[in-house]
This record gives sequence, C-alpha cells and structure tokens, in this order.
Amino acid sequence: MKIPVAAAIAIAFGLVVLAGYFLPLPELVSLRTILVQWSMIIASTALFVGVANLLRVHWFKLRKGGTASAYSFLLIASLLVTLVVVGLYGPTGSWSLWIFNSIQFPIESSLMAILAVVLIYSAARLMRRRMDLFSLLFGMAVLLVLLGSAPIFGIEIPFLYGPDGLRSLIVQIPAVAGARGILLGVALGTIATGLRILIGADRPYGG
Amino acid sequence: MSLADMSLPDLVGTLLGFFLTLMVFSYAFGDNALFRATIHIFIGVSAGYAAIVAWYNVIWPQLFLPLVFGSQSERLYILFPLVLSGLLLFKASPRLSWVGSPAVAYLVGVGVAVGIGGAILGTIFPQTQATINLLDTGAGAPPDGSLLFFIAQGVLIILGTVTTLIYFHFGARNRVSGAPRRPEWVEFLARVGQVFIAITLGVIFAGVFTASLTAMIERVQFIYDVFVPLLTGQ
Amino acid sequence: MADVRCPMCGKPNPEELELCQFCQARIKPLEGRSPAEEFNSPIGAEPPLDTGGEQDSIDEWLNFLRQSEDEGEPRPFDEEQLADWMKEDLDIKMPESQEPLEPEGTPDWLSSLRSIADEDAPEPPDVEKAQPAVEPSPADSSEENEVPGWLSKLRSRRTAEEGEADQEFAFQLGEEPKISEQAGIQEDRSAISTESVSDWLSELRGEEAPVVDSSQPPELVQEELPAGQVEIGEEVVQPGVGVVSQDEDIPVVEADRASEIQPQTEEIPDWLAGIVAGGAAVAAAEGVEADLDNLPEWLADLEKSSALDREEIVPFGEEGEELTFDWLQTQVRAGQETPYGEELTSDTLGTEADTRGVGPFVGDLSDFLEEAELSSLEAAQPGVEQPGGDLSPAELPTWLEAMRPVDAAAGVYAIDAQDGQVESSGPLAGMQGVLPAEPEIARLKKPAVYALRLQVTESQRAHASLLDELVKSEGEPKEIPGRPAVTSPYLFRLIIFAVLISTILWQVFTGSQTSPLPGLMPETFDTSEIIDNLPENALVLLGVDYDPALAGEMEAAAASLVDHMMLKGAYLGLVSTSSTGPALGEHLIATVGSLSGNRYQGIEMYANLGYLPGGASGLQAFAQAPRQVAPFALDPETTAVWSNTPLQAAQDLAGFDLVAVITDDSDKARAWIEQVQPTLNGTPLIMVISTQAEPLVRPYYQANPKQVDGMVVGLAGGGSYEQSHQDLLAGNGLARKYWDAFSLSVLAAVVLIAVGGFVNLVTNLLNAQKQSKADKKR
Repeated sequence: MKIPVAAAIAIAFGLVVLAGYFLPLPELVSLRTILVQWSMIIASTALFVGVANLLRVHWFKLRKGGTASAYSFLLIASLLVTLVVVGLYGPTGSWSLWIFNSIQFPIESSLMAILAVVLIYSAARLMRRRMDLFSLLFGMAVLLVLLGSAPIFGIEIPFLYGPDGLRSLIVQIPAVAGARGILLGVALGTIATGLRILIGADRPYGG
Repeated sequence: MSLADMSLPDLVGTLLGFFLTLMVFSYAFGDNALFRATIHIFIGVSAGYAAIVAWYNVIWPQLFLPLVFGSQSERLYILFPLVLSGLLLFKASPRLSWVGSPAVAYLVGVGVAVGIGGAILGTIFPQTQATINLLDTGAGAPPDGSLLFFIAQGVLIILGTVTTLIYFHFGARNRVSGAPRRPEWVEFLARVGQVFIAITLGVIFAGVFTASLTAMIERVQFIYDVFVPLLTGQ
Repeated sequence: MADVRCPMCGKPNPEELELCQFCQARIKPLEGRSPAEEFNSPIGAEPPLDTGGEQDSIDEWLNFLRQSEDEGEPRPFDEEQLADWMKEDLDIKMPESQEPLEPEGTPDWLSSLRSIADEDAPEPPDVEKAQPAVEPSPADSSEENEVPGWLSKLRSRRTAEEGEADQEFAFQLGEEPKISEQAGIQEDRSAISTESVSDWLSELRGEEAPVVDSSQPPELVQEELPAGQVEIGEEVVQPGVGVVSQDEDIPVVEADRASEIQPQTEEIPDWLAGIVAGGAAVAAAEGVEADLDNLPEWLADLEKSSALDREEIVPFGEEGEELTFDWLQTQVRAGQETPYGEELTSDTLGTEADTRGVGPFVGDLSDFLEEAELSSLEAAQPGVEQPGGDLSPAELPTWLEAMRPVDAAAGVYAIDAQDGQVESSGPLAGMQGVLPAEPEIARLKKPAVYALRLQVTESQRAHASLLDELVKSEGEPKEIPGRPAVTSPYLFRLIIFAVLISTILWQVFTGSQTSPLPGLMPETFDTSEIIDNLPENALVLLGVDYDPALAGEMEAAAASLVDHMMLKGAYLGLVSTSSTGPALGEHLIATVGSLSGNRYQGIEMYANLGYLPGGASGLQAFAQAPRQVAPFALDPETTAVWSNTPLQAAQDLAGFDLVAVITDDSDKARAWIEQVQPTLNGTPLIMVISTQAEPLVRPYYQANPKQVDGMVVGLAGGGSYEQSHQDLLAGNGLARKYWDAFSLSVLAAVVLIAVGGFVNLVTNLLNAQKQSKADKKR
C-alpha cells in the first residue's frame, strides 16, 4: 500500500511543479511556488534527520568502545557543543562565528590545501597509468593552463599569458566547446532521469 | 591585526585554527590520529551548525512560527509540510523508515521537476540558441572587425559542442559478433568530441589545482601570520 | 555376344547377366525411378513392422507407409520400435543370396528435408557447402542400380533414418511434441543441455535418451512393459540412460568406424552431422586407438568386401560415390546393432551425456569447463565440413585419424553369428536373416558399463583443481602484507608538499609583490562596468554560495568587488544554498571591512537572509517568492527584512539592481543560472567563481545572449579587478597579497608534474620493455 502512495505523491506533485514551468497559468505558477516552498521546509527536516542519524551512529560506536570510540566522542562532543552554542547565540552570533572561524573554516581550508599535493601526485602518475592521445591532450592542457595562469618569475610569457595568450584561447574556445557539450549532455541526462522518476519507472525514494 | 591586539577569544580562536591547520597538514606524512581527530571534530561542528541554521532559517520561521502564532489559514497552509516532516522523522529509525517514504517521494518528485524545468529553460534552450548564434555576425561579431577569427572560433565551438554531445550518445546496434558498437561515423565524431572533452577536463583539473593552491597559500599565510608573531613575541 | 566386365571383380560376364557370376555384383545398372515411383514402392524386402501407432503430425511419407501397411504391403521400419538385436539382424544378416533390392532414389521428402535442413539447420555456412548433392542425377540413378541388394537394404534403412530425421525436423517445427518433452527425460540429461548447445542438438539428445524397447511387437511392448520403463503416448521409454542397446559383452568395432563416420556425416543432414562429429570428438578425446587387428572375423570379411566395393559402387557420382560408400560402410560396420547412423551417434552422445553427469566434478564442474567440452564438440564439426569425396577411407588424413570416434562406438554393436536363420512363422515367415524372437528375448542385455568419469585431460584436470583451490582460498582469511613505512609514492608526496610549502613560505616570508597582476580581462571588465553603473543605494542580492574550503580563493576574488559595491553604497542581501553560507557571508563582510576599513555593519547596511535548503528547489522557491522563503534576517533581532530595510522596495528578485553570486561549485552556479536568472527580467547576474568552476560557467557567459553578464574568475580575476580598481580595499587586496606566491608555486607545480610525469613515463616504458623481454624469453 505504501509503495503506490509514495509513487503517486512523487509523480503527482512533480508533474504539477513541472507544468508550472511551462504553462503560463497564474494559479499553476502559484501552486508550484507553494509546493516548492514546502519542499524546502521538508528538506530542512531531512537535514535534521541526517544529523540525528549521525549522532545515533556515533553514539553506538562510542558505546562499543575501542579506538574508534574516541573519535566518535570527539564528534559527538563537538556536535553537541555547536548545537548548544549556535542554538543559543544564533548562526551569526559572535560565539557561533567564533566556532565557525576557529574550527570549521581552518579545517576545511586546510583540507583543500592538502588537495594540491594529491592533485600534483595524481597528475604525475597519470603518465604511468595511462598513455594515449587523450591523456596526452589532458596533460598538455593542464600544463599550458597552469603556465598561463600567472607570470613566471614576474615575466609575462608572450603567447601564453594574458587575454590573448594561449591559456585564454584554450579556456575560451575548446574548453567552452567541450563544456557546452557537457552541459547540454548533463541537461539531457537530467531530463531523461527526471522523466523516468516522473513516470514511476525509477523510484529512488524507497518505493 | 597582530596577536597582541586580539581579544582573548580571538587569540584562542586563532591559535585553535593554527593548530587545527597543522593537524590537517600532518596528513602529508600519512594518515594519523591527529588528522582523524580533526576530521571528526570538523564533521561534528559542521553538522551541528547546519542543523541550527536550518532551524533558524526555515523550521522555526516557516513551520513552527505559523503553527504557534499563525492564523488558521496559516496553520492549514503548513499542515501538509508539517505532516510530511513528521513522517520524515521516521527515517531515523531503520525499522520504521518506510513511513517516511512519502516525504522522500515528495522531495524527489518536486526536486526532479525543478531540475527538468531548469535544465530546459536555463540550459538547453539558451545554450542551443547560443551555439546557433555563434556564427551570427550581426549579433555577436567583434566591432574591431576580426571576422575570420570570429568565424573560426564559432566553427570550432560548434564542432566541439556537437562532437562532445555525440560522444555521450551511447546508442548502438547489436552486432552478430562482438559487443554492440556505434556506427563508424558516430565513432569518429565521438573521438573528435573526446579531444574537446580531454581539453575541457584538463582545464577543469588545472582550475581545481589552482583553487586548492590558493587555499594552501591562504593557509600558509595564516600560519605565517600567527607563527611569526608567536616567535617574535609580538 | 560381348562380355561385360564386372565393375567389382573385373571378370568377364555374359551381357545378359544382371549380376556378376563370380562376385554377384550388379553389372547392369538399375533404371532410375522418379521420386514418386520411389515413394510408392515398398522399401526393399524389409520385413514389415508396425509403425508404432498413430501420430497426429506425422509426415506424408509416414502416412504413405501406413497406407501401404494397410494394403498388406511391407511396412517401413519404425526403428524406435525395433529392438537393437533386430536391427542388427535386419542390417547385417540379410543373406547375400537374396534378390537384389529395388534401388531407391532420394525421395522428395528427403530432398525437401535436406533443403530445409540446409536452410534452417544451425550449422555454419561452410557445413552446408560441404554437403554433397543428395538429389541423384539420372546418371547417378543408373549407377545406383549397381548397389548390391544388401547394401540397398541398408540404404532403405537410410531412407527410414532420413524419415526419422524428417520427423525430428517436424519436432523442431513444433509439429509434434517430442518424447523427451513429454517425459521430461531431457532433464535427466541436462548436463549437456547448456546454452552453448543448439536447441536442436539439445532436443536431439533428449530424444536419444529414451530407449524404445522394440524387441517385441508393438502390442507386446505396450502390454509388457519392463520395470523402469515408461509408456509415453505410443512410445516406450526407459527413463534411464540410453544404454540398453549397448552390450558390454559384445565385441565392438572400434577404430575403423571412426574413420567412416566422418565421411558419412557429409551425406547425412546437418543435425545428424553435428551429432556424429560430436561423438567423434568425444571419442577422439578419449584417445582410444584403433585396433584393426582385433576386428572379429565377420567384420574383417565385411571390411574386405567393402574394400572391394569401394571402387565399384558409384551411386551418386564422383563425390557421392565416396559418400555413399562411406555411409554404407558405416552401416555395414557400425550398424550391426544399430543400423542407423543416428543410432550410432545417439549412443555415443548418450555415452558422453552419461559421463558428463558423473565423475570427479559432478555437480560442481565449472561452467567454463562444460562449455569448453561442448565447444570441443562443436569444434569437431569442421571435420564434418571437410569435403570427403576425394578422400579415400583407407588414406585418412592424420587429423581425421585423430578424430575417429573410436570409443564412441565401443560397446554398441554386437556381432551376431546367426546368419542364415530363416523365420518360420509370423509376418516374417520365410525371411532369412530375421532373428528368432525367443533367443534374443532370452538374451537379456545388461546395460553397458561406461566409465563414470568426466572425460578430461590431465591439463584440464590440473586447471580445474587450480580453480577449485582458488575458489576455496577466497574464503580463507589472509594476512595483509605489511606495507613498508617509506614507499616511493609516500616520498614523492612528501617532496611535493615540501616544495609547495617552501615555495609559498618563501614568497610570504619575503613579502614579495613584484609579479604584475593580470590586466583587465573581458569578463572582469564587464563585471566592473555593471557595478560601476549601479545606482546609488542599489539593492544587491549577494549569493554567498561557496564552502569554507575555498574561502581563501573566493574571498581573494570577491573582496575587491564587494568593496566596490560597498563604495557604491549598495544594500547587500546575503543568501546561500549552503548551510555555511551565513557564516561565510559574515566572514566575507568582516574581511572586506578589515581590509578596506569600510565597516559594513548592521541591518542598515546588509541583511544576511540566511540559508536556502533544498538546493535548486530552494533557489526556485526563493526566486518565486523571496519574501515568503526568507522572511527574516539572521541578525540578533531576527529582523523582518522585507518590511524594515531597504529590501522592502524589492517585491521579487527582479526588484534588485544586481544579483551577484560568489560560488566555487559549477552545479551551484548552474542552479542560479537555471532557476534564478530567468526570473530576473533584465537585472544583471554576475558571478565570482572559482577557477575550478570556470570551464562549466564560461559557456553561460560566452553565450549570445549572455546568461551571466560578468565574471570574476579566481585569484587571477580578483587580481585583475584589483588592478583595474586600485583604490579598492585600500590597496590591501588579498589577490595582490597572494599573487607572487601563487605565481611561483604554480611554476613549482608545473615542474613537479612535468618531472614526475616524465619519471613515471620512463618507468612505465622500462617496465613495458622488461615485460616484453620476459614474454619473449617465455
């Protein structure tokens, strides 16, 4: 019984919202706005459910003991502290921003920074793992774009750097062509996948 | 601002950020306990912050506020999302998660419709039109008169766009022997498209790298800004 | 009167004689008859046998035979109703003194059958090519007349066999349910019914499974069913393996039969050819050597006579000569107990099928091994395809020698020494060569004992054992070998990290700001112009849609632009689809304020509208109804921004003077473009994007008409903006601060990638060289 209900909800509301994009009926557009707004509210609840689930999982890990429980303790503690502090002072309160600026911001930035090392390593390894025309093109594009990103030792390399340099040409012509093809392909894929859901062929909601 | 000018909370926060940065950088020497601890702290903080933001931004003003203080019509208005939100809470229980399926289905259905509508109106129509207009000299030719470059650029972009799209065309007929294979001309054009895709991915890779490199520069600058005053006592 | 030389013994004979007075071979060729005549004629002098009852979809020829039965004429065989012992006798023990049988041509039904079989049989095309012409030409018919009587009789059996083939074919066409289908016997032999076997072959095997006890008249068969036999329709089927007709006690024909089966298959239909080839392959795989010396006496005689006949019997032309000879040879030698080639091959297949189900790998034999065996069966068919007309059976090529189904025929054919017996009663009264029922019935045959082992070679067995061990070892936990603490990847990563950090640190430490900032780029110029053209106290919606991870880059790129807006006195409404957006927005405002000295504080100067959950859905909702979706600011007072701030002038997003999105994610950028841009109604949309998002956002900027009106891309874009507006941020632009370090570290990265890539390339080439050398050594 539950399966048809879920599918019916997805199909019905999805079709109404989709129709609101293409049929210039004020009532339909209003209905679409309401439905989308409701979905935003439910998405917020989903975020809460996700956090609750995270808490539950690590609570069980903490109760299990062992080395992993220490990490789980850290996670739960930081989560609860954040909940309390940010809950009390609001998301833009001074202490809330203190937590954000002192903990989340540096950690995330540092993770991104360490990615540079990994990227250089993987780019170098590419030549070892695979060597064909396309990997060669890929590697050449990477090197040329990087070299054209900034002057070398303060010297602007002609034909490579600057608005008329090779870097700009690569970025503005072949990369745009490829990216436009990718964007159109992604859009078509979105439509195909979405329509499968809207006709009930795919039910990723557990129905 | 030097460390000496900072308030205690700011100083503590800066030092905390400094050590956390070093703990993450320790990953360069391999996975270690400090790195893992930092990651777990990060997950906890970000989850907690997201939950509170969602509460402050959406759930309280748009769900509970009308429910508690709103008029009858406002209460009726939020009845549907309230019920679905209630159902969604069951997703936290593995045993009763099926109760939340209608809410997830609603999210998926609306999300998919929004995605389709946006893809058609925001990408397919305008980008197709933009590709068609590439050779429209009246609409977009540069005023300085480099017409040949303009046309060559347009032709290249059209070629790249079309062949890249063909690369993503996976329709193939069954053959008597061997795996299904696209027709030869499609295969050829797909290979041309692959060239454009390789260049595009190369540009994306370079972009990701420069972004992460900038993040590293910002972090190193931060370390320097904290470490040097600590050393010099300023 | 001229003498006519016997084509067989070469001795002169009077012209009027039809048969050689020395060797009894036919001298005068028989008149060829039309297929219709052939059809209407009784098939030799074979004893009439019951066809076994009515069948609904029986073929025309069989109907005819029934008709002739009704008319009291000799009836054709129904070989399935015929006991093996009877088949033997009918085949072999026909007295040589008997009148020559009427020759038979190839009837219509057989021709049509062959043509259909050629068209429909799932054989490779070259098999069809290898099929000799079956239709006898007039000249062939004349030659056919020279077939001795006993051979003609065998040919009549051949005809019956073809008739059965026709019936078989009818089964395939769905005209008649198969015995195997009725009894489900095929399930017993499912070991060979894999997907790799053609349906017709599978059905055929299933067809062969039942052994029809026809040692008694049909009536008796139906009345006295032995235990273990099942009556299905009108057929009596023993649900065991088809071994009843195979007597282990009986001397067997081994080697030379194999050499004869091959040529015969060229004459027989495709379906049968496949079986013969399969049997041959199996037998060849068993490696049983031919032993001509061990042939029994009667068979040796036959061998001799056959050798004599070889040169003389030319019923089907040059090619058909050999073929006819071959199958006749096969009938003579192999048909002692089962006169039909089909019987022979079915037995061999039955043997194979039996052995398949047992042995060391019963039940757990890997599929690939089964398929390999089946493919070996199929692979043997090229042997069938070889045009055998120019091959003398005595001079078989070695490959064909190797493929002889020696073991396949073993234990199948008994030698009966009761030649010359005359039936004294019953419908066969007076017939010679017909075995009396009593002795044969009394001679209960034991099922042949076959090696219940899978016929695999040692290497196959070794491979199977290896596979078995591999599969078993999967379930056993193994210790993961400890990784060395220092590996080359680890070292390489450390080197990269050290080089990058030291390069940046060097630039930071020196505080060098010598590298020139990028000039004004077209997209930056467009952005700058848009902001320059903003009205006083403009309403700007600022999407802070990036993550803290890339805050360093995004703030460096956007700081000057935001400062530019602030200088224009714009009222900023901050919004984000990321949960960290509100905090990042505050961080950005604070950073810009600290750099420029412009203190943008309070709800009077900007409103942090907060977080829009749901991604694209949230954006769509906000684009449609911003007042409902984000009614309050995230300030301590939770201000109702749409009524108490300058934002009250904006009824919707089109009411803003500018929408600026700062994002590091191409998906988020796309969501803004797809969901928000169409609702702006002319309000410009500009983006400050990370370099990682640039390739997928630039098509929207380079579109005509533009979907994104201006862009600032990454650190270089921020530097370009700072360069063009040097008064912004009081000259303390973040891009300027980072630019030298960026320039040098990019160069370091390029060198690292190039060197590392080169080293890896060389390593790869060296490894490949080593590998090829090792392969060559092998």
